[in-house]
Amino acid sequence: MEKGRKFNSFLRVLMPCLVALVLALGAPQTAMAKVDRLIMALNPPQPETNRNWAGSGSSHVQLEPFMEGLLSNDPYTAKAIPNLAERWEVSDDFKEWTFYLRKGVKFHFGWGEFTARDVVHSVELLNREDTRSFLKDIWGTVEVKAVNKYKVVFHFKNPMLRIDGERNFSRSAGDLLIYSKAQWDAEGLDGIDKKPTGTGRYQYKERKLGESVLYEVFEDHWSSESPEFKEMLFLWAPENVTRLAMLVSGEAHITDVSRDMQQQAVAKGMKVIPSRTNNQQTLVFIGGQFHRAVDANRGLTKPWVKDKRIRQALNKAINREEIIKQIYKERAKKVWNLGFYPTHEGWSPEWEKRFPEMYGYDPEKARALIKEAGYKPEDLKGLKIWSFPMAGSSEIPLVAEAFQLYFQAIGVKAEIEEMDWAIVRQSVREYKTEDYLIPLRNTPIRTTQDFCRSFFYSGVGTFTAFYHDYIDKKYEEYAASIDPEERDRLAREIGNFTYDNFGSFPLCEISFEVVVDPKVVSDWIFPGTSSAALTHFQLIKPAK
Amino acid sequence: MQRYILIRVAQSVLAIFVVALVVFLLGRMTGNPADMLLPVEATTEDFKRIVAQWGLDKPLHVQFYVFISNAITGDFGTSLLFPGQPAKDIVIGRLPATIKLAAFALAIATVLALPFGVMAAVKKDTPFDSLGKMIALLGQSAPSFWVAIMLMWIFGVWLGWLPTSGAGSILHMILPGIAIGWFQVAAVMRLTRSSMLEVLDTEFIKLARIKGLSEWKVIWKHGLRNAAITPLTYYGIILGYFMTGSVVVETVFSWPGVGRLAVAAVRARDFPVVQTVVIVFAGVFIACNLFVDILYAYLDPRIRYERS
Repeated sequence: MEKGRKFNSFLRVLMPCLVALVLALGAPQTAMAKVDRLIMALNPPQPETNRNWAGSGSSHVQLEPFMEGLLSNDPYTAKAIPNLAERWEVSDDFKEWTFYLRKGVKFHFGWGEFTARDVVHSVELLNREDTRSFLKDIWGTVEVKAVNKYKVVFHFKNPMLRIDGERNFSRSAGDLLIYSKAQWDAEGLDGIDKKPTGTGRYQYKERKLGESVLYEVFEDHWSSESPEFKEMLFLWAPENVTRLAMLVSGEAHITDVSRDMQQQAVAKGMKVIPSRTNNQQTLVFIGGQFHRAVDANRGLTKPWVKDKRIRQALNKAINREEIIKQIYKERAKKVWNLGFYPTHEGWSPEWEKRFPEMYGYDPEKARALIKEAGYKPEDLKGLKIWSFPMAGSSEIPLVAEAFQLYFQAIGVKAEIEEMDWAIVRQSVREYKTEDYLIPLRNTPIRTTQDFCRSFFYSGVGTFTAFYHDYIDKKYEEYAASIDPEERDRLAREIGNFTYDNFGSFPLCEISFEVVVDPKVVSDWIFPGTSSAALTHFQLIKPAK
Repeated sequence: MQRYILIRVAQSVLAIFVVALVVFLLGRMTGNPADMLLPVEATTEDFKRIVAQWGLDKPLHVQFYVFISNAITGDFGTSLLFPGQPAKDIVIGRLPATIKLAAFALAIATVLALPFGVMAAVKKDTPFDSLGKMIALLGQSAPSFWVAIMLMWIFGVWLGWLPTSGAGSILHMILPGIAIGWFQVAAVMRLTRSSMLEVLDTEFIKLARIKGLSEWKVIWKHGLRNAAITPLTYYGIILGYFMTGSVVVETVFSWPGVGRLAVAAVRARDFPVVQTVVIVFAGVFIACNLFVDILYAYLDPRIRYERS
């Protein structure tokens, strides 16, 4: 008993000392740090490779520092600007694109000067058997010719409109990154895997598979803009909490984490830097929208498939303002019609004007629409919302929860089903989505034609979200047309149709945000509109 | 003894085959890697082309036959997540990191658990015993991912004493080693304590004391040697656990081991890597148990005499 009392007394003295020690040692440091090696903690790319044709979209982040395309993007507006091509011309029928290449551009590691044959070679790489390029049907049908050392012509099978072409040749969505033909002839795949060469402001130094990639400044770059950090290290860290810990502890200088965690980072003195343009539209598709004549025998019975009033009712149950406020912390803009953008083809200002009446938050009207359609809220059984994590869109599970609560408020019981992305895609391919709402994102924000082709046209895609013969017909006319006014009209007709038929829940658009240590980084000017989101590493400004 | 070893080895090979079959089938049930790795814009033709290239359009039994016949020659296929890289090379490349971490965790468990277990038995029903029970309870009830995150934030962020993630030095091993090892500290300590209590009550210990041996020798030389048989058997299981159960901790700490690779491969449906990882883990697990069984038979003469 005596020994027990002594032990308790000891603990009573020890514990406060420990707490004081923790608080004292946890005191923040305030000195500015000048670093030569900039460290970024990022989500690992999928796949992890130096072969750009074997990956797509976000996986290009690992290539962006040391590889370049013919065009780049203005860091503030994302507009296509010259890069490895000084200028370009487009024929009247939009089938021929001619690029005049910049002279004196050097490849890294002494692989000589960049010329037209490197462009031809890079397109050939995109057509390899193992390519996973998302523009395969474009690069696979184009004829590329090196007219001379500094002039290359692309002849497309179908018209490549200016907006689409500039997007595909720049970093906005393009996967045409320039490899050295000379290195390929000498070293083949081995050279690309072990020491790939590019023309970027950084050159590849080392990769530890599954861990990191290290880049160092290329002193002989053709432009006057040189990065301010001599080395840049990408550390792959799959967990949000780990990346946050790395940033806050000083082991990383830049990272991207979910908005909830950004608040914690800011509370510890970190700074959020958004991309200069919005790079993502968050949306929710309504599953089962198969309305072509050939879909008549699919046996679809759900009310939200059969009756657009139910789809409208579900839309009007959603308070988008509150979602933007609570989930996106007010750092998002409403989207009026899915896949359509004010500066892209087909835009109609009517969609914004009519939005309150058509989609605006009104639970009473939602209940009335359900009743008008001949149902009671409890009849809308079996509605499920898929929830899955997606790199760069960590809010998706929260959006799913918000939707569940809003539906509950109008008497519709929806279940959240946590799901894996692979199963979601498989279900979409197999037309097994009737019971589901599918949160998704449009990133980088596609051109109208690209979006319609990927999500509305049933001809080629594997993720079509709203099938209708009307849309297929209109899209084919739209894709074949080169007249700007006609294209604009046809695109708007598709937009009006999807808008009036409530095939989805348009939500919001957001920028890509990184969190930085202000003791090391003061700013980063990047548009955010590339498939990898992170570009323009030479515009990362060190703290002064 | 030789016959015993041969039978056990044959059983092990059969076990690995069954594991390979099970992981093959389970993997195919989880979906198509093309759905994971192809972009949303991929056309139906792209999809079919890539699926055919990866051999996933063939019937399951053909796929399994191809896999097994290649695996016997050491070819486990090419990774889908790391294009162009043989799955075997990737897994073997990561194995040293996992083995190092597992060995470190085992060392932590041994260094903490054995002495604590012995002292808890010797000082039964004292505050020391209570402290041991509390540590055991905490270790067994706290999930390893929670422990990992707490350790990371306390020692890596707030105190700044240790790195929060990655590999590179022994300092990087400490936090993930503790996160993995702590759960087993509890189990080993309790096993050692109960085993020690049994041994301390035996006649030969009384005899050792009567003979005038020092208490130190009685406990640590004679008592522990006999009491260690039970925890030693358990070591065979936990060594396998340290390697296979490190997936969560390796992911949290971004430790470049097989566990983290397994998580990434499963997420991406990288079948060649998943299959290779599971077969390697199964092999390690089975080998550890086999080694412990043989060691057990060697240490305990009664088992050798029974067998002969």
